[in-house]
Amino acid sequence: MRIEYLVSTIVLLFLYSWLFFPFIYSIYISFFEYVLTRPDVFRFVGIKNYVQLFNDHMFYTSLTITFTYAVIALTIEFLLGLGIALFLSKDMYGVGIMRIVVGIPILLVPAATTILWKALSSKTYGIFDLITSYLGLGSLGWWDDPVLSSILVILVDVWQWTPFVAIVLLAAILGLPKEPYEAAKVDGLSTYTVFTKITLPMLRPTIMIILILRFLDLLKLLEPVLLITKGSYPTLSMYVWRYVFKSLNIGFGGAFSTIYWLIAWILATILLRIFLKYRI
Amino acid sequence: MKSNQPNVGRRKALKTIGTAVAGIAVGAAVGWFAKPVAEVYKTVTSTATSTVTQERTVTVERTVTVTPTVTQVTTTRPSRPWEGKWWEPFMPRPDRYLYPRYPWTKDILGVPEGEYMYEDDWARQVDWDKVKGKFEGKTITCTWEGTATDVPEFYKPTFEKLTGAKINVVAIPTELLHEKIMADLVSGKGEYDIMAAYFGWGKAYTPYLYDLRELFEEFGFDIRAYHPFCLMPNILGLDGKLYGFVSDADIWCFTARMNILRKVGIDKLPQTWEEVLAACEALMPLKEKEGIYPFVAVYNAMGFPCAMSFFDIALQWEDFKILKGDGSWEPDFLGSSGGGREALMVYKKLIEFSPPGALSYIYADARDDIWLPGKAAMTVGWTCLPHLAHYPDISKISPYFTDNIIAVGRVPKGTTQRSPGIWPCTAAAINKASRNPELAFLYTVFMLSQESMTVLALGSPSENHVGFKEVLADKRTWRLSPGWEITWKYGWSAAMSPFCFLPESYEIAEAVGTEIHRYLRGEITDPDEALKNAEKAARTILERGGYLGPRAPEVPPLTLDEWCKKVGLENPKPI
Amino acid sequence: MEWQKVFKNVINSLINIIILVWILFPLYWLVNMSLKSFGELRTWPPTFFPMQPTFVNYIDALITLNALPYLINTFIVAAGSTALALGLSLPMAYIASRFEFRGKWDILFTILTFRFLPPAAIVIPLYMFARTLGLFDTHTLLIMIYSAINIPIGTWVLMSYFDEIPKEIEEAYMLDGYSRLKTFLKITLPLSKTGIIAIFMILFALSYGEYLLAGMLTTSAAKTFPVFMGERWESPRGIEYGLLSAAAIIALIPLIIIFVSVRKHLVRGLTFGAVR
Repeated sequence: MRIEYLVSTIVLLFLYSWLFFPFIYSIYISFFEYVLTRPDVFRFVGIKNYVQLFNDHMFYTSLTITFTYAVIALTIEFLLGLGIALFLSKDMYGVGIMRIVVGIPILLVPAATTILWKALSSKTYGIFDLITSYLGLGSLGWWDDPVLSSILVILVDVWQWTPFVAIVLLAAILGLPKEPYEAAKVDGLSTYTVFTKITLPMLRPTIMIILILRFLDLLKLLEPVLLITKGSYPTLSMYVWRYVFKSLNIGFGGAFSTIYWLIAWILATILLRIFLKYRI
Repeated sequence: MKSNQPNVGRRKALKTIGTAVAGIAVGAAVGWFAKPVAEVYKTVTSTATSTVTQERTVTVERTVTVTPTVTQVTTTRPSRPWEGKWWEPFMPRPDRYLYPRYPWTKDILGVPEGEYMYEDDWARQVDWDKVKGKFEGKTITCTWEGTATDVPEFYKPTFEKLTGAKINVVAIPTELLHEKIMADLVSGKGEYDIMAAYFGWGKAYTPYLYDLRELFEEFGFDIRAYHPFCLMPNILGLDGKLYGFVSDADIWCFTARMNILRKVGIDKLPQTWEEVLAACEALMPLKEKEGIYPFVAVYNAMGFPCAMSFFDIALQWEDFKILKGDGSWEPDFLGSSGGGREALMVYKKLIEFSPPGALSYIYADARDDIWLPGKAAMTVGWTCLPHLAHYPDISKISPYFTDNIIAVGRVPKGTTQRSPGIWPCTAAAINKASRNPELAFLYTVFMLSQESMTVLALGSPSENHVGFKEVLADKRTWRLSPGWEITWKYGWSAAMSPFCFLPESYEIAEAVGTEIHRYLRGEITDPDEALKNAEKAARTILERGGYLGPRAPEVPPLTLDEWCKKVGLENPKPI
Repeated sequence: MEWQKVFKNVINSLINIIILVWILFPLYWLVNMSLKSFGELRTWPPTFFPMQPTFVNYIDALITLNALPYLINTFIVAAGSTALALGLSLPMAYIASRFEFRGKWDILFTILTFRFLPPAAIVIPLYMFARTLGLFDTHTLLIMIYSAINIPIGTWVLMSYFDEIPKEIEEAYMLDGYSRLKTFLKITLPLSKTGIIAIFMILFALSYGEYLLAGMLTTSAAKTFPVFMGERWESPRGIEYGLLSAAAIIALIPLIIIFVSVRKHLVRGLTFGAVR
């Protein structure tokens, strides 16, 4: 067999053998009523789980919230990450250390990051209250106010994952060939033109990929919402956590997984089309 | 690249649909053969569908064989069976465990060194000779919530030396506790022998738990030693089986810091919710000056927490019974004369007096952030709140047990003075698939019998309540744990939540809580609407479980008194 | 234009400082909390440095609570899964970058779909799967699952890194008689070292810190560090911020050491002058 099909087959085989069962089981079980707390009941109910899902207003709320968080967090992470990557791609004093420091947040266990920000925003252990009192705003409810808790959740995610974007982009920038830049220097182009006409186009593939990957991951946002805000303004993962995981309603969970997968599939296809159009 | 593009869309769509269809077909075939693991358990007894008119609870006449001691004891007190035995040094005693940890308990309890507190402690009635021979070298796994692993660890070294067996304590994070235990039980592999079971999650565990009646009989332990408030929803199933041991028998109580209340001229503990709210108003100026909040509601996150808090408050209204009261499972959260509505409004006001962020509290952070550092004046919640406030190494509220600082009372009255609605306490249960059920039973009893549990509860901040009548009535302990006094004096009037008999209990509470929370945070302004939504959400689940149809099981009694009468247990009424 | 250069340096330094504060302040707070005793943590207002610094949290985490086996477990799982993921992603990414073949984008898209589902939704079926296979609570299970979840990232990002290396370089070597495999190993890989190191660190960190799957699929033998921390979140006396901060720092240090030792590969311009 030709090498490309051989390798592809091996990789796909590996992926399918480990992750296919949960996926296919979810679809199968979504047509049944099966709740682990009453395991003696196992009957075929057709699309009842889907109907229940689409009738649940919390589902739509969590859908909206997830998208809002995803778009906002992605924009911030991308802009900040790109900026940091560009900044650190230069050869300046201390750049080696900076490149390490910037990467540290992703090395922290996400559970630890959440605890850290929970402490920072708490009334006894953290300094948020000190800062807001100093600014004259008094003590705020960071954990349950709709706007503030959203800010906190997005802040936690941005703090931890902007370095991910930054490092991937940094590595990409460092791998760019030098020739176009030297030619640009000779031609005397301005920094702005160099950036938009040379750097950006060459970075497009990496940018597109990082956007798709980060977006897919943001749709799965769970830890900050779960541990800090306890889900008053739930994301999709929080919805799953509460209505499937906690209630052990496997059939309903299967319906949710199927629908979620479809939504992710549609989004990824759209993003990929855009990506394919731009790939050199 | 370009040549591919025009057809990519259609081809891709067709391919995906084809793959999906094939996948579903394959999946259905695979799923058909790989039946869910639980189907193996066809012999599951569905607890809720059996009627309540069942056999009486099994109580056994306890025979205590008093073997005469070998050496003549010249003291005037009667000889005890355990004196002179080789295993006596292993038995839990206050001076062995409690006094070294918290030396100040010695003076308060007044139990001299070398003395036991309770004559009838079960652990001392066991024939440990026989036990040691039988179980030497065996291992059992005990799982517990990660936050409280000091409970199984407390007596582990002693027990291991006593019996020669080995105990393997496995901690599970709180967020995953219910799911992991359930998953292990359903899989039937018997990985966990003893498990910490919160029956507030409903009776979902019971089909997989060992029926302890035979073991209780074999070792002569009488469940009548327990106060019925912790038996009913907890360890006694509707089918008459015995599913667990009471470990932490928490009850809700009201706690106030009298030194703060006196600053605004309040001298006695508020007895009704109106008085509480008036006191909160009076305390508002203190918030600006000293940063102390009038109230902290500790369990308010969306879902189960706020549902539970709401029910505990609302059951203080006479007309609120959670169900309609006509013998059906129809929920009625408004109460026949609006009690539910008033309660919900009181709850909302309490949240307003609580610190910002209260709407996402799940007890641990509230206790840690606000109550123990001393930032709130009053609270209502579990007995650990006043209990822990006395530990100088844990809280900033009172240097240990100084009078006039912490006052503990019943949950304030609405239109009736009832004990709070009982949502079940922590229990320990034994896996049906366990390979060493007797050994598991012995360790659990060793951990949780009268003397052991008292010493444990007073010496470990995590499990700090007991379920035994003798212990609760023991005035020596009231000084150390005021919640026990409240339980003993008022527990007999407890009102029950009928949902906790059902496997779907947690789900129902989550659904109800989701709706109530919307009112609490202001999304819905009409309490009636929120309560009606909650009723609807509960109805959906009840309907699915078949509780609203023609073959619905009988509704269990809604007060402790009725239940005791039905089952033939005595309800101790101290007053 | 001397002062223009100075001005630029100043701006650079300012931005550097802002980034440093943004990233290091929370970490500093973590260290701050880890050095405070339980009682001191509860005093308000919180101080920027403990008045009585103590290492009791570190001792508790390592010795009393015995965190070391869990840390080792986490390492085994992270290293194993990263090695496996890279082992499968590198060839796949290279082929995706250099070859064109029918169904290529379908295959790549399918690989991406394995990263769609949130762990919370698939954890219970995975539990059943693991139980049936008898792999519950083993390192193997976690290694395989984590690799499977991380391969999409590895493949796609590495593909874009390989795209950056001009094909001409490889073709030059292949004309000289190198086989495709040799070119890949001896030329392409070293040239894309930067990217590979970056992805290595990221995949390692992702497997290191994963909580939900590790929590449900292990119980004692293969339990990982994040799960261990999740249990100890609260103790009977309250939320253990000090203990957890110490544990987080303990978990962080080995990763920083690894990161620092590979930083010399994060350099630019490896393709400089490589084309004739």
